[in-house]
Amino acid sequence: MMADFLLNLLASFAYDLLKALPSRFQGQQEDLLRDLRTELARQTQALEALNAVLARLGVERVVRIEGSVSNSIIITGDGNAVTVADGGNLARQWEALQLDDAQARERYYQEIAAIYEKLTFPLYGLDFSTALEEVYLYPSFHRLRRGLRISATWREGDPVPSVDELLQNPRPVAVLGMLGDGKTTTLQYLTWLYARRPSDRLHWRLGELVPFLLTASDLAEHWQDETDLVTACSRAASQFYHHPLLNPYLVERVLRTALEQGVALILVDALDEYQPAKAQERQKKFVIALSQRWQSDPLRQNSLLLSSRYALQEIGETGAEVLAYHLGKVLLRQQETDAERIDQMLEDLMHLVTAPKMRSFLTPFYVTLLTVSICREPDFATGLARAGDIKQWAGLYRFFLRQTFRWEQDKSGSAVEEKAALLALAHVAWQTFAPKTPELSLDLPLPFSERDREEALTFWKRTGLIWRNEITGTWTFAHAGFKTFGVALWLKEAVQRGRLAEVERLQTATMALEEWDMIWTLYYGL
Amino acid sequence: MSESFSDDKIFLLESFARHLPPAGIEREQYLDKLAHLLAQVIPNTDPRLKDLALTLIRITLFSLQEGFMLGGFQGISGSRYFSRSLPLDAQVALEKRLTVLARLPAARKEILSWALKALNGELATLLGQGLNLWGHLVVAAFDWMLGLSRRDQNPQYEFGLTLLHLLAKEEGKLWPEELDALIALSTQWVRDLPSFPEYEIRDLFRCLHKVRLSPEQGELLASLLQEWEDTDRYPSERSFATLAEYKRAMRHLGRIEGRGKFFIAVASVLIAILGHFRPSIPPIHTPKIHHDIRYGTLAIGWAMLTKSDARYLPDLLRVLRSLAEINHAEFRLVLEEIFPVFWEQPTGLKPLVELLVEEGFQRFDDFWESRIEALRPSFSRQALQIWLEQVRHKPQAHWLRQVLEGVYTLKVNAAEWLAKQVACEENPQVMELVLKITQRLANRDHNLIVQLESALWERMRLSIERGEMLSSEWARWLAGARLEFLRRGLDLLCQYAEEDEPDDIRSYAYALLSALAREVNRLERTEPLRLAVCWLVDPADGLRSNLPLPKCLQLVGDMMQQTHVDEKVIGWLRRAIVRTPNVEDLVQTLHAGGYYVVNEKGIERLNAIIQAPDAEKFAQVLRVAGCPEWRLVKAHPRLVSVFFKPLDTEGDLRAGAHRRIALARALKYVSNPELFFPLLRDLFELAVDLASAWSVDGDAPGAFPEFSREADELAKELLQAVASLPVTPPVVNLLREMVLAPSRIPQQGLSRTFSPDFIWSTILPLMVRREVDAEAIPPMLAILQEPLPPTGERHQLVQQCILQWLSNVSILDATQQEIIWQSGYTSPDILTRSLALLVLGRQRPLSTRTWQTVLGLLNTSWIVHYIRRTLEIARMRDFFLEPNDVFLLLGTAVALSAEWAREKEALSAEQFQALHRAWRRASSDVHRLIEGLLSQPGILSIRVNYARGLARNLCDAVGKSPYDDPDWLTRPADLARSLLQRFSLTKGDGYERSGIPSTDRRPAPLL
Repeated sequence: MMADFLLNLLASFAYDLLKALPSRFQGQQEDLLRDLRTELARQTQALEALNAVLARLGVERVVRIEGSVSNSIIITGDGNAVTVADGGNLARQWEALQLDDAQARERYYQEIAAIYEKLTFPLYGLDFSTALEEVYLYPSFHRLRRGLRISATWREGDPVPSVDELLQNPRPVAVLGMLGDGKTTTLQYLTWLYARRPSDRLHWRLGELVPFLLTASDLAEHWQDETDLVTACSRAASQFYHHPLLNPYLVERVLRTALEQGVALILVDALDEYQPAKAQERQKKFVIALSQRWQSDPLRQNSLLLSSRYALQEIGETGAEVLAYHLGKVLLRQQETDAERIDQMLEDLMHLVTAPKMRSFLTPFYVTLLTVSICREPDFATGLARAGDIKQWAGLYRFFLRQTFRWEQDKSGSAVEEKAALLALAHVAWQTFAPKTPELSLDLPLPFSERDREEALTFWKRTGLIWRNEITGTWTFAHAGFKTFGVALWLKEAVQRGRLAEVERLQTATMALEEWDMIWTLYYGL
Repeated sequence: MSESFSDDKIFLLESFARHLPPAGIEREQYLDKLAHLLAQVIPNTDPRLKDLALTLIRITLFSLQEGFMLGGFQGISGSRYFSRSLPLDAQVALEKRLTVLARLPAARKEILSWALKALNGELATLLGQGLNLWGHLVVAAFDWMLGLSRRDQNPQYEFGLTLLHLLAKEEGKLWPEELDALIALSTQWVRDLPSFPEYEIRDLFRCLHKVRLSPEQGELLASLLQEWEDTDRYPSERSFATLAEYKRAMRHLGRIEGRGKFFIAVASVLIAILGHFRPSIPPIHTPKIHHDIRYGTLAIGWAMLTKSDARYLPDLLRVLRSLAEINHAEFRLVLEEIFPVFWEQPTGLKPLVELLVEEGFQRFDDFWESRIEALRPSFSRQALQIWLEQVRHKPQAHWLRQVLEGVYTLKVNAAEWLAKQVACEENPQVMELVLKITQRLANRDHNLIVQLESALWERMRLSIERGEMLSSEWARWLAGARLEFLRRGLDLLCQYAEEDEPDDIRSYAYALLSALAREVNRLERTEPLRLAVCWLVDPADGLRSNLPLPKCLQLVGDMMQQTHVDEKVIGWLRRAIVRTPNVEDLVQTLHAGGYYVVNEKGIERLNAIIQAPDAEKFAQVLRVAGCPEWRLVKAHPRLVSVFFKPLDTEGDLRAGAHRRIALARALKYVSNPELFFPLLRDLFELAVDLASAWSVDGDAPGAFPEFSREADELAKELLQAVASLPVTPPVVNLLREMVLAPSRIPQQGLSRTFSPDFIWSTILPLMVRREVDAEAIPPMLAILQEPLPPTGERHQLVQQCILQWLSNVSILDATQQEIIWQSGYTSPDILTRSLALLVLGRQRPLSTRTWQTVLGLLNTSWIVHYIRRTLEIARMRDFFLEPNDVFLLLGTAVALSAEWAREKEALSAEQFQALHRAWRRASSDVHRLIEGLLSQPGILSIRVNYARGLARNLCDAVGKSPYDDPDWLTRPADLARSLLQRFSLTKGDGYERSGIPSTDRRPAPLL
């Protein structure tokens, strides 16, 4: 949309310019637009196209674009200027186009490293920021019980392959894991690592490979409208879960060069969350198409890493301990300066997360929630004691959400009430929860206005717990665990509003369904 | 939580309980869910909830108790740290449910009361009835019929211990009343039993080894231990004042040992009639041994206490010291068991080291080493610091290093500290340990070693830059580290190996590169590319590249840019097995052996012979010179280059052998079989030549044992490599040739290497999920049709391999399936038959005959199968076969049917229902009982390795791990039970399809 708008704007602007200047151009404005489109198809870069057309038509290089925080200003040779209130986007794109390949790649590295250097979930938007690099937990890549394998040559009993070995694999590799196992974080970490290229790390071809992180759904969406996989990849890599992050032209330019050199590292996340209509069949086709396309030049010289759910894996006590230690250390250092005291706190923290009674919380997600909840309490000992009292999953979610609520409220001074905020969250969870039985409806009206709902959701959005697709307006949970908890909250709400009979019927109907097990577990823990 | 919401939850839980299926595995599964849900409502004290929980816990306890009584469920007494082989699925499920329920106070109390009664042999009193008399009778009948001896373990006692173990494990602590009850129990045992209950008390301590006791609890137990140390007051054997007291004690003992009322009654009558009253029990052991056993028991008790609190360390060490003085053997046994105390409470390490130094203990033998490894040593930062300190100060205590080398994991702060320590560590022994720990952890957890690896790399880089000597351990670490480290390391050394560098710098780089080329051969796992790279940079130019070293370094730099292996890399690897002898080496060797004084003319002659190989002439020259190898040269001219290599520094193989073995090992990890196949064949021919040369060595058979050693190693690795390749006609032929090779080598060479056990345990599992070329199918079927020679054991092994490969295809036509049927399924060998069934069951569409065969197997009673197999064995007059091997076939049938159930297209709805019914029949209590009886340790156990390949092949379908002990495949009834659970909710007979119970089923209330 933006591209079309810009194209029309520029065509109109160029037409006026050409007419005003002594040039060879004799056509109509539509002709110029057609010319521009043709040029675009070849070069895909609107601003370069404009420059090229102007140059071809004998106009001296008279256009430059400058930017500010709020605007882009197109300045012609005669001193006239067009101001576009786009937050300086156009100017940044223009600047990117002036770079040579090496500069473009360096720019891309810087931008991508800045984007992914923070542990974005579930701490995104909170006051303290955590460097992903400091807390990242390398996953254990076990042999999968079914489905894709790590590599053709890997055998049971062999050492567990490292991230390096995955990247060395000449074939596309899938990273599978359960909810909260850290698949997305792994891909984000690799993106950051290969973009930042820290000097104290040694990883496979670090400094050579160029990372591109995208989601399967973004890629599929762009690939539908675009025959060229590279363009589709670029567009997908310039956003994450539909959120624009980067200049797509810069990404495409860097990607094309990297692919030609055989140094592109494409990281496709959340294959399982790509849920088209006729999901299974189309998902399979998508994977096959991607795989086939990957066999052709120049793609096959590059690395492809995919992530999806389904494999069975537990983080284990050691993993939990490592994660709690690193994350805890980062968080505690922001509040405490006494190194010995920090060491003692960390000992206590590790002891808690590996205690037998916390056995059911051994996933990266739960360990993260526990650690954050403990460390951001004003008094560490209180946090530890409270966390130690948690016996059910629901308790952990409740602890974390309440704390997040207080945190955000103190920060923003919002007037949203906790009960209303939680209810709005539960409502969104219920609405977006897919496996519902159609015959049982628990769609209850909210006891507050739409405006209040919107305010509550915006409140949660600021905490990073939910996101909104600006185009479709739909809400997405940052982690499926929160959605599940939201559904359980909604069931509680339904029971309290006298819908016990319906909930009982729902329980009977879903007794056998695995996807409901966690919801009921959370419900009974409320 | 509001009261009304709490009521609503209880209402919903009761509703859940009302909708439970009436019986069967579905009911069990719903009970598991109910337990989970109940455990979520913990703070609630509503009596309705308590009733629900108690009912559920009693149902579960009763089922578990029944499992122990009727056989099959595994106990834990006497086992250190309770390592068990894989328990039955049914047992695992029940124990898991109990663990979940143990979070509820009422349930926990109930579990404890059952445990105490069971440990005292009073469960019948608790239940108010005899314990499944019919069950006991059935068990006895089977024992009699099958000629089995009664099991050693007392099921009631085992049940009690298991419950205690679960309680201790759940929270990692004991509630005060629980410890009180246990102390009361042990005091009662000590007071009432005829002899001091040493082993029963040890069992109690072992149950609690993961529990952390509070200080008060610790003191309570400590006073008891101190009391028991007084052997005058608590002698091993008691005296009795009266007959009644004696009878009471014996009755109690009888109950604990599970003797039953009848036995005890008869014994009492006999004692009364015969007046056989003894004031004390006749001593079984000498007083000294009693003393040792007591100290052993106390040491285990103090160790358990010390884990909770370091202040009990002096007591532990005191008891250990006493034990060491009186009985070294018992001391070592106890020490092995309590070792974890010294990494959990490391402050006690120093006195222990001193004690062991006094005892003259320096190192563990291999057996001990593996036992210590099984304890999974895990070190905190403090523990690691103390242990390394002791390594520095007591270098003679080699056992410290052995424990540290066997480390299972480090606490994260320990790994972090170690990474910092690397920069400044000066002690070479400690550095060597750090390298070994890093290598060990690299295979397990990358998170722990990321910093450590970086620190090691930094230290190595600085050492290289400063020209500090690095031990071969460093070279081994670099050779096996991630490729990126090797790449950077070689980049660095490349600069120092330049021609224009000073000699000392160059020689330094050369020394490290030589070590790299040597150490890469010792790695357990390595890829061909890594081998080629490390060999190429060998300054001694072992590959005879004739390239200057800087050029080689440049070459490997390019090779490492691309990770895939091409013809060029193969070319370099091939040089490791080059057959052309080098005249210079030959002359040197001959000189060294003093056999032949080679002058210029002699060299010319040798050169001529080597240029145009003529074994006869060469042998003649050697014969004249008196060199004993002349016969070998004549018989095996291709081995000339090996014969004249000197022995390596360790003296067990010829120089170059390690390289060849490493290459054979690396071939297991190739991704491009076409490229490597010729290499593989060449190496195998070499192995056969070596084995033959060793087997018949002219006048002195077996005179060169190093040939045999190399041949064995090569052959083992190569067969594994072949089994790992995609299956093509040449691969099939090579495998056949290899397995049959012992029959063409003199003296059956390689027959022990390619033993049936090796093929079953190692080769068959490797053949699972290999890609099979359609062109390879006809030659494989042709092999199956070959008539078996009278002593056809090796041919049968080939057939088993072929069938395992064929299980990877699903496209065999009717004629081909008929061949499998005739050549495989009709075999009297049960593994061949099971493999054939697997192959047939993998074909699509499924043939009616296969379907009916599997269904027939599942629907027929296990007794009938067993008797049929017994008769079959009797007909064959094979005294080595055991009739319970039929369970392997039945297990294969069950697991195969699970694969069908997983595939939506494989079965119609009616077929699925029939299968479900067959699973129900197969998983009947009687079948589970029979399996339980026959799987008792030591009783007709099926050879574990026999099932390994099949288990690896079928594990996915039944949700088992490839790492699981393959025993599960020989428990078809338990397997069928787990399938009912696994498949009931997703697919099936109306109940499962929608996930909603169908209306025609009457829900059965729980209460």
